[in-house]
Amino acid sequence: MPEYKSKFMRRWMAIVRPIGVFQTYLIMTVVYVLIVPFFSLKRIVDPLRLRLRGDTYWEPRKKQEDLTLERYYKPF
Amino acid sequence: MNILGISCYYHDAAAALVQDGTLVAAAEEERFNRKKHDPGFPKLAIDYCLAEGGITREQIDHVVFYEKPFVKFDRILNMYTFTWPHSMVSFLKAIPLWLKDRLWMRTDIQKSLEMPDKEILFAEHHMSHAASAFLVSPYEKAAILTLDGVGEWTTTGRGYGDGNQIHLEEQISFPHSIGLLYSAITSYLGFRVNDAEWKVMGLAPYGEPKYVDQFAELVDMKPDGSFRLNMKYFAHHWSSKRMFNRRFERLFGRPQRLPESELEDFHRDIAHSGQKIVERIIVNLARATHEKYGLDDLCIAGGVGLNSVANWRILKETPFKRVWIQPAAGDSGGAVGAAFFVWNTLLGNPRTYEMRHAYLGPEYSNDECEAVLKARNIPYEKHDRDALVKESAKHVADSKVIGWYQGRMEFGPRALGSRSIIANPMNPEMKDIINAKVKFREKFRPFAPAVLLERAHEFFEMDEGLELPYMLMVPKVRAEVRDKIPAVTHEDGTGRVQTVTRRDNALYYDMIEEFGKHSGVPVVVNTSFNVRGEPIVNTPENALNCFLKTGMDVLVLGNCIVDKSRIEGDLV
Repeated sequence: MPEYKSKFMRRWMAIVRPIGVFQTYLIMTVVYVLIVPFFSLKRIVDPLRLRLRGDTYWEPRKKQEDLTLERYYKPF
Repeated sequence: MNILGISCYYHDAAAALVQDGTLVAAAEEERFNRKKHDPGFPKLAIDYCLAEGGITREQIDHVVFYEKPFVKFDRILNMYTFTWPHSMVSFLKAIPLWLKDRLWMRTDIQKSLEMPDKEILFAEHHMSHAASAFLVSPYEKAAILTLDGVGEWTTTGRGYGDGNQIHLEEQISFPHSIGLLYSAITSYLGFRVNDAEWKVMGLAPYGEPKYVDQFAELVDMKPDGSFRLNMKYFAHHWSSKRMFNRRFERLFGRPQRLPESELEDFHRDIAHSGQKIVERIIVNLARATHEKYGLDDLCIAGGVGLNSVANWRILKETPFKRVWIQPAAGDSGGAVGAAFFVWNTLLGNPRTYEMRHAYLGPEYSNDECEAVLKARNIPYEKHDRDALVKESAKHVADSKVIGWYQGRMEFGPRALGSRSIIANPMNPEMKDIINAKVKFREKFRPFAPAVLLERAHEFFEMDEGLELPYMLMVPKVRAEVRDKIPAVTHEDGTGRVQTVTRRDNALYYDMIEEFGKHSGVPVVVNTSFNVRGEPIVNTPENALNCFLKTGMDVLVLGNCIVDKSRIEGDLV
């Protein structure tokens, strides 16, 4: 990249980066305050096992039948 | 076939290379870039592994990452959603990072590897741990326990391994975690989480079990080995910074200790009581696991597997006859496990490799060591092998503190005779000398004994021939010899033993044997070659720098011996 372009990019990034960070936090705050609570209303499902009771706290793991490379290419 | 295992993006990033079923190299990134517990992509460690294996990137057949990022993201989303509104700060910090980087991990790994078209495999976190313990163990069939902080959802897993297959059958899920309980204790005592858990274990013998009842309030255990935490007292399920809440502090009657402030009896008692409760959970878990599977052998991995006091209690107090623990039991070992999971379990290859030692890192030749000394004008003496052994043993006998730099670097958190500081265990002052002048760390921190395997049972209450090569067990020092090796006898009369064999580390073995010939004690103090806050040394330059800026007396660098008293003032 020519020197004048690289200088321009550096200055441009110095201006837009803080704006980007500010926007990220703004959007995330809106998401957290307005959207996340709707999902948390489903607390009855207790995914964090905060109300775990019973004779055992073990949970059976799903048996992995599909022991193939294809299955493990998936990040989920 | 070449399989590259990678673990990173949480702490202790590492890489491992398995070639045709043999582990040829494994190393943590921190050793190369000198950032302790570095979580970043392990580029330098990968470069090293490939060089050690004599291959280029194009010759890698499979790349496997040690966990499944989308499953982890699912846990994180649930965590923030169901602890709303407490989790706001943590949410704002973590979610942008996940959206920007972590969810694109496949692309990120491909880019970092400079292999944009390479498919990446993703093993589960606890499967990687289980594989790192069982698939490289000496057992054909064994029970498996994975004890960790947290992986994707799992914090504790149990099952068994048979041949090249692993059956992890049950799990305990986040937020109920032994590792996170231990981290809460670490944090409450003013130490850094994921770094200073050792300090809690080291401090514990100085205290009394005064707070065991309060700790019992934090955990509910079942006879089947399962447990849950009383989440009223914890904060790790909604905060990335705090491990516990005010109620936890009120339970023990005092606020969190400020880092570096004075350690009082209260803190020692908390460490002792916390350690006791964690041991109780682990022993209960191991006993129930034996009852369930009825197998004689047990494999353990996961960060909690580094709790050597609990490990010894498993061996002594449960019906398991043998216990094998991955020396890099924490997340770095996940790189090894993920690679073997692909080789053995997914590709169906039989197990042919047994991990008999942890010397899997870089090695520098005698010439390279000498060149470093020459370049810095450091006076040294060069010796042949026999003279090197004799001179080194003599320096140990003279109560000098020695930087011992030989052979391939260890994989995992322990220095095992390649990048070690060694000293005379018979000198009662030695612990204080090394803590104050060499390691610059707290007075209470204990040191481990390295002992010849054949003689170990004479000094420690353990069976003759029992191999403990990784300092992961803490037997009692025999009462009649405690005054002979005061520098390695902990406050409670135990010692975190490393047994040494000629088969695994001949030079180290011969040096200890030589010291034993003169002193009658074939034992040396062994601690990691680093100073507080820095990773263990890797290169000869790292070793020389560490030697020069600390109170070590002698450096045995390859076949060269440097005596600090002969170095001119301005070089030190």
